[in-house]
Amino acid sequence: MLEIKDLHAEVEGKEILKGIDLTIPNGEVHVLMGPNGSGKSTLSNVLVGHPKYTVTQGSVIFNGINLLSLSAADRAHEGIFMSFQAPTEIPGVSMTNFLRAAINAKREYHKLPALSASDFLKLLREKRKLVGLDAHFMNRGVNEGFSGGERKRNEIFQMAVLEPLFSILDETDSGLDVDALRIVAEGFNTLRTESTSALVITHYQRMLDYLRPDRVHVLVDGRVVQSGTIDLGYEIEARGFDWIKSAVSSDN
Amino acid sequence: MSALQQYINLYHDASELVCERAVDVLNMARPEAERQFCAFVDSTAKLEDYKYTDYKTLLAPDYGLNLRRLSFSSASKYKKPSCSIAQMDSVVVQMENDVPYISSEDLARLPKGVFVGSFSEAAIQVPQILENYYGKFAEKHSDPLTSLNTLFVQEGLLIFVPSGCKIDRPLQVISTTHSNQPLMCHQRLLVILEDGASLTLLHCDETAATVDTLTTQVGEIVVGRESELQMFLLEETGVQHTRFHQVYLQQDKDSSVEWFDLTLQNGYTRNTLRGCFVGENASLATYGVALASGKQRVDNNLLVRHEVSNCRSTMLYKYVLDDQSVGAFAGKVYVAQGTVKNESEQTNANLCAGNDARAYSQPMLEIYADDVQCSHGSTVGKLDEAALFYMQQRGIPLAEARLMLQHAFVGEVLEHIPIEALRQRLSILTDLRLRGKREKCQGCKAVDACY
Repeated sequence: MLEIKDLHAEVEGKEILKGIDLTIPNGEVHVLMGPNGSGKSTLSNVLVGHPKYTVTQGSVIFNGINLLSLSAADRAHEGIFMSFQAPTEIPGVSMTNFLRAAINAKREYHKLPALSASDFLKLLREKRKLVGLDAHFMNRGVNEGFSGGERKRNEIFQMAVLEPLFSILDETDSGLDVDALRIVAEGFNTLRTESTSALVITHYQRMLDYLRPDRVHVLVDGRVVQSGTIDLGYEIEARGFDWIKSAVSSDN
Repeated sequence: MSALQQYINLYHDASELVCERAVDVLNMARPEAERQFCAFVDSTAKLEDYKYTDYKTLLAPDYGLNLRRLSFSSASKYKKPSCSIAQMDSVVVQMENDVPYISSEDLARLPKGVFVGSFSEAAIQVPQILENYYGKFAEKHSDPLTSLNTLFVQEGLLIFVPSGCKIDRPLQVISTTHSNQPLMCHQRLLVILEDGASLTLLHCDETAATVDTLTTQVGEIVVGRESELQMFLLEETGVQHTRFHQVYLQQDKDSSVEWFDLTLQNGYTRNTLRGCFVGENASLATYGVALASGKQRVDNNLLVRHEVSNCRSTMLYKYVLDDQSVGAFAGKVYVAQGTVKNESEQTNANLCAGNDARAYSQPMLEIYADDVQCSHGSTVGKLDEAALFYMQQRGIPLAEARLMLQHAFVGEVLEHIPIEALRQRLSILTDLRLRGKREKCQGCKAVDACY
């Protein structure tokens, strides 16, 4: 379970998150919606420990562990994963070497022996099928020369390989055509279990259709201002954010 | 007394000793070398070629010279080397300071007509080759370290590959500096490839000394028509070692040279390459990697002269500089008047991994012809923060992520190495070096034990 309490965070001295409260139980998928600049990506980056963001107040407890006290890599080892909105190219570091280093670092953290070469390659083969990623991508540099859609598929592929407990999908649907979105969403759904959970940032109804989230939250100006069922998501799709913004300002 | 004057004085005092223990060809070149060196002693002008290397200060310490040719090594001359790269099956030449040794078994594996051996042996077996080529290329260039080398050098290695002979296995020269007291050592290499010949040469520099040492190495390499040379230079010495390495390369028509220069461990290194095309349709591809940390310094200085038409030269040099290390690159391409269709590319990229590391980059073009295609560029930067974070988010610890990015950075150079086994070995050596697991060369068997 992920419990975020009164989370405040700033970037370059400017406060972006102004008191987030959010609880995501195991086995559930929550969707986070909100207008541009409301703090969705900031929240994602704070959760995964991006050094650019400074937490000034509040706590994040993940399965009983104080997440904010861990390095970015150790958060990953504890099972936190983020599918990046704009995945970075890493020329010269092959996908295979990259994933081998990631898996074995996690295994070392959990005091497990490194995966044998044959087991590792078998794992890659299995997971590639899930998102329809060709074998030749494994010898290329991470995201090097990948199209937008391939990069997003690659994010879900990495998620499948690393088997996180809590995943953040930061606009994974943006830039995908209908078929690619279906493949990515179906891949994600295949990975859902009773012990995993996710926070999905999206602007689109199609993602709601595919994922059928347990809860939908709306973020405005660094705070969660409304939570509800999937119907809240559909209402936003139909009416936009202005009615929520108006309601928030009249409450204030 | 100036730093350089001490060497003139020493030569005047010990010239008989120097000459009586060297073959005549070497002695005949000394008067001109002395004249050239004296010009540098008297001059106060700064040399553009040594803008990034203060050679006078580096030559100032009172090193000893082994003019009496005493043996520093207790090892037998033909001990089995610890460097043996699986699948390469190379013929090994061991150089102890300036003296080359090659076993009779290895000599027998070379094709007929090939000569690999010391200048002393060459003076007996192939005197004409030594006389025809020694000093003919180096002395045309006015260079203080080359003159110093020619003044004092007493032995060297000659590799002669006759016309049409293609040596099908690499020749590996393992050059080790031995000494139990501060030592200056002068080494000489002469490589002659006649027309239609081919050679792959791997030259490893290491040191067994734990005292301050300085070597000057002068190589003269002649590549005949339609000949091919693959040259791999690997330095894994130590922080107490200063190395001046000068190579004068001449290429004839339709020849090709691939040149790889890797500085993995060193103290202070200055690599000079002077290439010259004298026949058309020749190509020279140079690649360099320098990994420096602590207070290590690496200065690569290249000049390629396109004296004729239709030649191609490339330079790709990459440096990873950590701590307070300093890297310098000066690469110049000269295209002569009246030539056409010459092409060149120069790239120098520097990664300053440490905040106090410094990189100097000076790519240059000097073109006196219109019909040319020449490009040059250089970059100095730090590790990609976005990539570092992406890797950490996937669970790769920061230190490991940094190493992987550094290795990937120089990997762009290593991927050009055409011999698979060597490429893999050099990639492993680079990885070990970046991880700080090798202070200096421990032999390739130690590498096998790590992987």
